[in-house]
Amino acid sequence: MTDHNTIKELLCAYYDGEATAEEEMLIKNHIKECRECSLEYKNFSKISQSLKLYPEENPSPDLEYKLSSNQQEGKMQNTNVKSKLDSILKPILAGEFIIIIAAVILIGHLATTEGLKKLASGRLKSAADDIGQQYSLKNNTIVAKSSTADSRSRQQEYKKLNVTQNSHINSQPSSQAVQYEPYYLQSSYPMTTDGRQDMLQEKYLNKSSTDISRAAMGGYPGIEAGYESIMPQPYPMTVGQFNTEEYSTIIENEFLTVSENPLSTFSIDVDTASYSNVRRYINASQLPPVDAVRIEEMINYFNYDYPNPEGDMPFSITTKAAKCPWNKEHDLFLIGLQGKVPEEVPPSNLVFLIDTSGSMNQPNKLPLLISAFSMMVNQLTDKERVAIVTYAGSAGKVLDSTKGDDKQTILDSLNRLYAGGSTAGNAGVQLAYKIAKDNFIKGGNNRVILATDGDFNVGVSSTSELTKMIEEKRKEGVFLTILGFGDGNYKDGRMQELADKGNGNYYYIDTLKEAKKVLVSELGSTLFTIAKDVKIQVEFNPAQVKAYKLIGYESRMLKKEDFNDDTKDAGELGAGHTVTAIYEIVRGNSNEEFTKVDDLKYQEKKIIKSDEMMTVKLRYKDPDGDTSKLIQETIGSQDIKEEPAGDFKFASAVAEYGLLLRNSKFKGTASYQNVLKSAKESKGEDKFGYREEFIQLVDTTNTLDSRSSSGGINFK
Amino acid sequence: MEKSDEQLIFEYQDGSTKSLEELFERFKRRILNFALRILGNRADAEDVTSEVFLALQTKKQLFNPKAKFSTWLFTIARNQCLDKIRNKKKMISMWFTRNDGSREEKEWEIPDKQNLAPQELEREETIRQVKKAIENLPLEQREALVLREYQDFSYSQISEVLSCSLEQVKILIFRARENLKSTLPSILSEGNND
Repeated sequence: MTDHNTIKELLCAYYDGEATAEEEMLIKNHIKECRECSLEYKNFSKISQSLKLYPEENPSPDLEYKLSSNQQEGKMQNTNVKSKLDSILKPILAGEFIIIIAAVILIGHLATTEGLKKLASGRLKSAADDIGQQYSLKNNTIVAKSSTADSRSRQQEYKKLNVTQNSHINSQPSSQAVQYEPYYLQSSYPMTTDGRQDMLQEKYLNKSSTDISRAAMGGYPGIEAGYESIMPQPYPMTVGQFNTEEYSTIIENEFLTVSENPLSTFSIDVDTASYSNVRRYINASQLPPVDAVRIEEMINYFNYDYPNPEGDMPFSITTKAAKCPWNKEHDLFLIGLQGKVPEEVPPSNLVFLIDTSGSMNQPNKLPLLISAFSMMVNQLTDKERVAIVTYAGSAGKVLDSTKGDDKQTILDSLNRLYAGGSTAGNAGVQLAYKIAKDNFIKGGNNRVILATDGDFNVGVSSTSELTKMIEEKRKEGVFLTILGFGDGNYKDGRMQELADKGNGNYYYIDTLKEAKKVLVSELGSTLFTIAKDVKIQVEFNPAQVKAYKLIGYESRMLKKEDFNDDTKDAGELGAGHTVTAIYEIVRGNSNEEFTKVDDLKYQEKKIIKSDEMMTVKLRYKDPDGDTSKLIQETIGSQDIKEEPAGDFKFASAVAEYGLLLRNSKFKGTASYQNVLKSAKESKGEDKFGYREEFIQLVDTTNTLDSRSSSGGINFK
Repeated sequence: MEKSDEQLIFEYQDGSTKSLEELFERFKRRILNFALRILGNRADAEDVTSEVFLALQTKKQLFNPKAKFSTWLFTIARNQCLDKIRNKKKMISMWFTRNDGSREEKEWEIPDKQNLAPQELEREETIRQVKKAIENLPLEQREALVLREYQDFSYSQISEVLSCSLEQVKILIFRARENLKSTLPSILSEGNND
């Protein structure tokens, strides 16, 4: 009989279905007789079962991010001419290099003077250094390239090729560890980067190699003072940081015929991120990717002067219609919501206490924090006061208590934050409380919002002492909210305790989504939200309207049945918010053809005669409610103006600009000149200069956009 | 019909980024969990995963059209793991060990164990034992077993990934299982008496 060990070994393969037919026979016979081996066989499946207990884990958000930036790079490599160019360049340059080496060796041999020898060895040494550096960088960097960075990286590569022999056929040029910066983090990218950027760029072009290497080391620390006045706007990338931005594709809404799609349903959208992102691109002299342009967010960036709601209504509805500026055959139809500013909301006195210690210098910490706060700032009104205190090596006041509607000032100071130094938590907490007390609003919401990764490590940082102080302050009426950032938050307990003592809450923020939920929806809901799950459904009258197209809101479209479904989530409306949606409409008497579908053979469409153009229906829930309320309004056909006026005109100018940026096929006769003209005419009071800024932006875009038929200046 | 992995890599070689995306989707979890079981450390496993997908892009042309894509990708993953282990040995990883000497747990989602029911606790304990048992296997046995048990690789695929003979794979897997039997006696003892 075969000995057990051999059989066991065979059993193992047999269990995995890897035994030969012959072995299988042998084993089957053996198992029947041998209890030990049959037990053994059963054990295999038990092992498998227990191994299956080891849970499959999902990639962490961080890894997902890395992967998607990897992938982005792959895409660029694929589409890039660069790789092809490189493959031609490299052999040539490598060849050149060999010649240089040979020359150096020759010179070394031939030269009799010590000087020449020294020169040669110095060169080789620096080459060796470079190789070393490249390796040390390679290990912890994922490099992504942007088309704009190409020329620079090629230069750099050229330099490296002259000093290194091989070692980088597959390695990427890596001048600096790339920070993972998703676009949303960059929309409010710290200004510390832009001054350097531009000052460096020139020198870059001068090809001074020392400048390149200094740039690679992280820029010019000395030039930070004074750059703010030179470059007021954020620049998307720092030197050596490559563009890994990704946008999900927007499939633009098409014209839909009313006979087939009489209902148009969407959720309101109060986001404004797209506009600031577009602005960032334009100010960096680039056209934004079309998918970064979400027109509804651009329109909603601006406040419009709609009438205040009356009675118990949380918002008012404004509807306007006029001829479409970019297509004389079409009309524009605007729906505007104005959120109520409830009287009972107490004024707030907020002090942001922001940890800017070195440990916060990670994409998911300070930059995320800044984006999160920026979103919150967008919701603030003049009832709030905001101050910003940072604490790093020493505590410092960044922004004195400022009214909440002076958003630009607040955002600017947020954007000035950068991480560095150790953490003096205690001093920061004290300063924040002092400011909160100095600006104390009686009966108001006085609150310190502490954002940190929890690592208090300088000065008196005993938890009990801090909590004692916070308890005291609570009695004085100043509350504490804590926002934890970053993974591996080891000081979790401490923060929890502090928040508890401060009569506040403690949130943990890992992603922008979470930040938004906490800061805008949850923290905001007690202060700001007046209606949630706001949905709009428009029913068009086929007799009056032939086709329609909703401008923007592509990501917010709902199914028609979702409108009456209270379980379907939709956008929230904040106090004092305005939301605007614009339809482009083709009137019933138009000759334009849209549908290619034949008329139905067995069904007859019945059109009820009516002069009404459409019915606008709105559903919303109270902030604490579960069932929705319905509001309806019908629009007659008589009041279509010759052209949009006032705020409507401005909104339509923004929409037109959006269509141009998207290079939409529906842009008709739209042009930057028209946008400029309408925007200038409808600028109005423009308290904070947003509209003026928009006009500047359009002006700049006009010179940037050389896409054919874009209506912009064509330099060719 | 769903495209095969090989079809996708061919399309990617021809420039389809959509296919690359699909490959990422299909394999990121598998690679991560493979690396996690080999390295026993979440941070390293994530590093390796991202390296593997980077390599997939830089070395896409090296894929042998006759080979199986998963085998190729896991070979890359295995090599990256070996690199990681080698580099680790060079460094004293003091910072990553806790006071009790155990390796760091995934720090970003430590479950609250107080609220767990007794059965859950028991299950947790078993999982911990299993993890430890796998971690304590000799590297090659671990590789072979993980590929077999978690990735459902055939012996010949494993032999390609580990670049060894079929016979060796058989022995590795057998020994790995024998080892587990001795390190996980509690699991085997249940229900053996019936």
